[in-house]
Amino acid sequence: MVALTQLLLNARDALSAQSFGIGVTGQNVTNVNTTGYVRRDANLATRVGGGVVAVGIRRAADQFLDRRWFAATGASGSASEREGQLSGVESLFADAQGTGLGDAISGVFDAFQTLSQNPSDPTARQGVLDKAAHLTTRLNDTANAIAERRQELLQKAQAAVAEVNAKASEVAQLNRQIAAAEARGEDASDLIDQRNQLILGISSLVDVRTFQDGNGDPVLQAAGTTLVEGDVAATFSLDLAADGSLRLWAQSSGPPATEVTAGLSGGKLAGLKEVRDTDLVELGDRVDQLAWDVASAINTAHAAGFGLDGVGGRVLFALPPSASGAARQIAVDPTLLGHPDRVAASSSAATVPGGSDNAVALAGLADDLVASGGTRTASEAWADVVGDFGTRLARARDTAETRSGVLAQTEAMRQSESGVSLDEEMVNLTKFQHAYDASAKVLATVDELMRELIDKVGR
Amino acid sequence: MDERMRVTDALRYESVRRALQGAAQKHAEAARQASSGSRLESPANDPVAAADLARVSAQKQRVDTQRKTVASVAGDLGLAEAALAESSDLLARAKELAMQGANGSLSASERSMLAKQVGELRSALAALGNTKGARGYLFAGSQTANPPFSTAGAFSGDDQEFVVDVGSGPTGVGASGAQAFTTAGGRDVFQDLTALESALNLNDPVQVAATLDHLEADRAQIGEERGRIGLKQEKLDTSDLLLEDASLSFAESAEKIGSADPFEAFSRMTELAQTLERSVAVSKQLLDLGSLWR
Repeated sequence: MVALTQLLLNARDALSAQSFGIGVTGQNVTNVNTTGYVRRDANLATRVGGGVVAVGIRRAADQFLDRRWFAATGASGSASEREGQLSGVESLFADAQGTGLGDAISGVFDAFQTLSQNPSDPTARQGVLDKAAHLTTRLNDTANAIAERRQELLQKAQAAVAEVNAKASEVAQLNRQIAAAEARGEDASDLIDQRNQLILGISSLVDVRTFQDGNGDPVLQAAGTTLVEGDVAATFSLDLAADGSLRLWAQSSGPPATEVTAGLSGGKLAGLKEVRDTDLVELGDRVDQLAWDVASAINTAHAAGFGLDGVGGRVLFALPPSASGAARQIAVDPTLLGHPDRVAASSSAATVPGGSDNAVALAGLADDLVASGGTRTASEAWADVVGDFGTRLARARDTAETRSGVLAQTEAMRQSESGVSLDEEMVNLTKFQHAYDASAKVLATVDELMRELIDKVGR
Repeated sequence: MDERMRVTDALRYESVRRALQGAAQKHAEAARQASSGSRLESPANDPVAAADLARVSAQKQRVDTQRKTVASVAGDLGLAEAALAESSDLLARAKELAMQGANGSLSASERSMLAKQVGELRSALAALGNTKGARGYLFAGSQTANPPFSTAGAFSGDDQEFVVDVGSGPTGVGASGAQAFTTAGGRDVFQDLTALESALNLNDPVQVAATLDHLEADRAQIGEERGRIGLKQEKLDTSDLLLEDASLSFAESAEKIGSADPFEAFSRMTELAQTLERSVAVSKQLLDLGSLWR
């Protein structure tokens, strides 16, 4: 009789456990397309007496895979951000259609060449001023576009830092909720999924590392410093160094904040910083140097000549005292604006107006090694800038593609471990359903046996 | 993919999405190259080639501008040569008049009429000396804004050589009025005509005869300047040929560097279109795989 009763209880437990399994399967099926969802397995165990009990749910997660996933996301984030931002300034350096800065530089030399054909022609003289103005406008536009892009990148970086701080704060809250749920013996899988999604979001913005400290508290490190430890989150902030470059600071509890810029190695922030503080600065410096070299050479030659008024010593371009900021500040010298007669085509006052030798000398600067410390012609120096930009963008594209491939592979591995397979769930559903049917059959059989026993004994 | 991998639904969809996206991107790039004919839309496609193209484009632009210079100054030089040829003819006519005037049988009034013709020839010569071209008065040296010769033949220009760069550095391409008509070239042509005119007016056949050698020297002087112009024209022609070759060469280089081979581009586009179609077909099959849920 005791055995029959135990059988009855076991059947009852089995029905409950298989129902639990069906419920877990249903949850998996329901969340098949939910981003960040980690499939669950119903954890069934044998109860003393031969029965079965649902002891909980197992998240099919691998923390090592998760760490690789976060790292790959950060690496891919920085590379794709750099590639995207460099692509955004491509039009400044692409010259395949002959409408770029190189064309504007050549235009000035061509204008002097045209002037040399007819030094007294007011149209040819105005042509020199027009081409000079076109060049300065192109240089100003290029420098301003670089400066504006750097300002945009600063704002993007600030937005990214704000996003990191908001997510870090949420991670800290979730850590508290997860610890509380686990202390109560509740399933915290949903909360852990949410936390992982937040960490993934942070890893796309800044490089992260996760581990548990000696007390078992989860620690989230970002940019080489602790961002979240247990339920305490630090905050990141940005400012600009004296040279205008971005600095990242971390503050955990009260001042002083610690600079962590050197630890920044991944995520969107690292990509933004590399483009803003390395690529655009170096490219901008090259354009400044080119502007300075070309304009200085033209100024020197122009000052050696004489305008139609017989006055010499005038420069064509107004320049700052050094190459720094030359592209942004360069302008046609105010003394020449509106005075094409002052363009110095003759090499002496005595040969005005038909003397063309100074115009010839100015046009000939196109072939002279006036740039890059006297090693390159103006067009060669511009070609070097184009090549430099192309190399940077090509390298950024290659890196982004490679890292995207690594991320895809890591995601695939993680999906393979933690993702939901509907076919697999169908098999599980059938498995639990059959077990449920069988348990119900056991229950019915025990019930029948007991009824028969009661009937016979009771008669 | 590891053969022991669990294949989940998200993994299947993601692999289909990636495969389709990759094939579509490659096909779009091939189609862009085939339709635009350019393989260097972005310097990143081939940074070295992009730099080469920028360099070659600048060189071609410079050479093309120098060719325009050749065309421009060649026109003026031709005009100057024609003016000098006509001047030479005028001096030949002056010499004929001098020979007539040197004939002792002519009367004073006949010589006076010859003197008048010589005066007209001198005016005509001054007009030729004041020939204007695209850059101003051709025989004025650097003083191109004003006529270099007065009607009496007084010279107010200079002997400054007009230079341009036609690919080989500063090159003289002007016609020198000083060398052709003034003592800078040996003799003052206008003074010699004036001397002839005076001798005819003075009815002095001996003096008239004395101008014959001078007039011949004047013609030779103009002939020398024509010769120099001829050499300059030859140099311009040579420069033009060299610049034309250079321009074609730079154009070919630019084409080679920046252009996509049309046959290769089209065949690649076709190949990638087929790849894309296959990818779509495979994707359909993957997505239509039988499911236990049906």
